[in-house]
Amino acid sequence: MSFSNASLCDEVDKKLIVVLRDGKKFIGVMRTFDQFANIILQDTVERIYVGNCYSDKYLGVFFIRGDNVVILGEIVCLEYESIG
Amino acid sequence: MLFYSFYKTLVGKEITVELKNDLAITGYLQSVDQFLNIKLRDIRVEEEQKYPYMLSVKNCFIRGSVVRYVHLPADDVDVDTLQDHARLEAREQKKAQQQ
Repeated sequence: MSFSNASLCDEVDKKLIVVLRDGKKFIGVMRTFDQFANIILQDTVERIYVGNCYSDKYLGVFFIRGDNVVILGEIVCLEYESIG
Repeated sequence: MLFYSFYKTLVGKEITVELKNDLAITGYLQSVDQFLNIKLRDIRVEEEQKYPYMLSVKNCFIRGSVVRYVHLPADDVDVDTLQDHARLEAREQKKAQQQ
């Protein structure tokens, strides 16, 4: 029996990357969500990319309005940044 | 509800979702909901170099409102059933309007 309900409840307490419509990327632990995909992230970091390199800006607890959310990606392994 | 039911028949199949921000992601459809939000697993981004932040992402949730296209495997789409259901839906809507 295929289970088909795209709920974010499986994503709670997971480290996620949230990409917004304006191109910003936020990484944090998702604590709560609702039917509009409004999200609360804990230990949020804004990851600013320039090419393959990035820099993190610590932001703390963040509420993101679901309107602006493009994609929520589950971060499972470390990526290796390019040197130089 | 028609397309929600349609997507449910595609759960487990490999699809490519093209978003309004031009990001294209291929993955297996894990689940879908009434807003046509999509969950994909084992994803592969089409232009990987352009989106380095997606490198470590294997599963994702895509908000239905940001989807532009969903590329479907032709063999997995039963066009006849789809047409039948569309006609049924059109008939229901007509009845509802007349009342």
